[in-house]
Amino acid sequence: MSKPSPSIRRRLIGQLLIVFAIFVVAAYWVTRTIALNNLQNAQDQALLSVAQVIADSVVASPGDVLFELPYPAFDVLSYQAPESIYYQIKQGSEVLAGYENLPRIIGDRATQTYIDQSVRFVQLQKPLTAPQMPVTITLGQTQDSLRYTVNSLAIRSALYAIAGFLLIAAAAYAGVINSLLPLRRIEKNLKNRNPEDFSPMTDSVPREIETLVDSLNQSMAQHKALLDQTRQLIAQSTHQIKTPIASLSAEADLLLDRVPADVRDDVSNLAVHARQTSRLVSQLLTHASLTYRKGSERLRPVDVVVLARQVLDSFEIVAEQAEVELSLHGPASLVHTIDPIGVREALVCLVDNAIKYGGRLGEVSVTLSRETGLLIRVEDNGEGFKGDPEHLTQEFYTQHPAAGAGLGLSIAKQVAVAGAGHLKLYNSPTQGARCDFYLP
Amino acid sequence: MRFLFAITWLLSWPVNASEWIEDTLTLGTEPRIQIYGTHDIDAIRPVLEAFVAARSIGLDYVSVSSKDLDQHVVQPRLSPVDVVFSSAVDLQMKAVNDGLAYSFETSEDLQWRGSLFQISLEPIVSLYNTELLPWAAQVNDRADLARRLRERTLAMPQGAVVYDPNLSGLGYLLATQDSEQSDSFWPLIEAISESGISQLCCSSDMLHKVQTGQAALAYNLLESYALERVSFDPSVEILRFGDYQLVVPRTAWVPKWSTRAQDAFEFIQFVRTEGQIALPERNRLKQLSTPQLAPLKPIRLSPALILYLDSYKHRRFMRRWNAATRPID
Repeated sequence: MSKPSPSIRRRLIGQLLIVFAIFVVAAYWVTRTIALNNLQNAQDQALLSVAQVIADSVVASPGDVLFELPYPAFDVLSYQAPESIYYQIKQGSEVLAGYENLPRIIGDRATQTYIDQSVRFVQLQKPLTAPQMPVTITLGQTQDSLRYTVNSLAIRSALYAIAGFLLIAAAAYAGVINSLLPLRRIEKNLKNRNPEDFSPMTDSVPREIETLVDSLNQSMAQHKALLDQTRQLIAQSTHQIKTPIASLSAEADLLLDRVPADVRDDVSNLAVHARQTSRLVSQLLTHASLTYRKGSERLRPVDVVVLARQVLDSFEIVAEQAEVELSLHGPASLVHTIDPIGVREALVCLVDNAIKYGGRLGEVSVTLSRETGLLIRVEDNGEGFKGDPEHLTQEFYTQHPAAGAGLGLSIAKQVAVAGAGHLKLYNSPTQGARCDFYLP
Repeated sequence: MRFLFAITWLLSWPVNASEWIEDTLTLGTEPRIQIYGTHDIDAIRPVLEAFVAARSIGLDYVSVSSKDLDQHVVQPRLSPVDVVFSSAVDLQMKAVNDGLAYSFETSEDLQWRGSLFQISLEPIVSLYNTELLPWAAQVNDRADLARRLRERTLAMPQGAVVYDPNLSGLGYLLATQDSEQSDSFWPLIEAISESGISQLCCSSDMLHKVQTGQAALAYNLLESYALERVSFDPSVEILRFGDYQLVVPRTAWVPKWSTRAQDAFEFIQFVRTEGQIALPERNRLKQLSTPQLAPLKPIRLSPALILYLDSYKHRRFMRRWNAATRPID
């Protein structure tokens, strides 16, 4: 499967966060700039008008310059905001009044640092008749309250932006979750589906993903048709082959007694092969019939002890020939809801395998127990599995190509999985192979 | 270590004991905050004692004149100083405007930039001699007094006494505020001058002159001083003009170089709140919000106050003052 691209939700959140950050920072800076501009202008105007009052009061008399430092005007400045005020009246390089060491101002207004504070200065020139030098009036005021106001306005605007954005983001998020819901439903539907269920999905879905569901349904229908065809072909051909193979096997057996001794071995081989083929065909038939049946009608409560006993009894003759001892362990009765046909087939396959590969003079034991579900353990005391036992449950895979077709364990596994259980194959810690067939 | 401190203390004592220090008061245990103020110790003692009892912070109170406070404590940045406490609101405002004060987070009233805090109020009144000026009780306001004097409908024998604005910082502050406040100020000063005016340095001299009949009127006095005289001398009476009554705020600030700024602020907050009860009623801050006989004109905490400290403006004001008070030849 290809690596999935990041989830829609995460991508949405990421994009939202980026836009969000830009939005908030923009709100902060725009408000800040506008407010600073406006308030700065207002402060400049106030300062300039006071400076103008001083400039207007400048009177030059020979050898002297007279002017007013208007108390009420300064008072008005301090009414607007409690800010420190610095001023200087200068003619040429001579300071006539005010603070001696104010910073140099270029132009008519500037913000400068003075006594460790941010101070806004304005400057006016009052020209006098020559040869008198012009009078320069510099007026400065701290801007604590202005900055405070600007900052709180900017922060408030950023907070509004955050609040508004959170609302939008919540709406967008809810929208995405909501529009993903039908996809979720389809996903759930597909996940919970029985592997054999190819019925079309009937959930109502939004138009945007209708085609997706349609294609899925179509694809499922095609699969089902293909599968049915294949199965039918297998079932029919197996059925067709079964009779000739059976008669072939019987005739080979009959022939064995009548052929001359020099070809008897060859004929004997022929008979063995014929018998194996016949068995394979009957297993294939079982397999096909198991996978063909409908799910709902096969479950019912059954005494598993009785069922296991019947299976072991059917192996009595075979076991005797192979000199294998069969035993059944567990409670006297164990009723469980199962698919009796499937479980019987599975058990037949497991016991058959154990007898076949457990070795001569071996022991095969079947143990029934109830744990959280039903556990049927079939074990022998042979050589055990070689390699990965999981391969064994694949169809036509066998460790002993001469002995079987490799369908037995596959059938058992299929039955277990169909019943939502599992089949575990492993080597017992003491000796031999162990198969745990489990159904919940 | 302690020994070393003791020596340092002994060495520093002669400096502290300079002649500009009027009086000192020590309350509570070390470490003590250092308060420099213009208040007489007797007047401020109840407040200081209440603070030490309530907050368990010791203090040294050093009483100095407002000019010495500026010259020897504020300008040279004397250390350790934790509170500067003065009625010279113009000098106080200048020091804070020039960035010498600590700034505290606060949004209360009666303070400026979290740095300069009003502590108490000093209403300003005039005092007259009842024998020399029997008609004074009928005077409405400053313009009325000026008119009566100018028209010579009534006489003011022995003339009047005022603070010499050249010598007294408070006198200068009151005169400049009067001149900004009212158009009748200069006519009044001129009219008084015609009856004879003497300019004195100190309130005690002014009070003495009126009590002994050497002057009929003392214009612009701290009400608390005047009230004290009136209480035991029936020959003097208080005159409150109906147009306005100046109120000088006593203010305090914490120098930036204080090492105990938080305790100092605690002191200021205490005096502004709980400590008010230890002040005479007329000096409490809440006087500003109670109805008065004459409208109170408190001097606002405003940086405009620094203008009259400007030598240019001072020169021009004194020229005007001298012209108004020049004796008539």
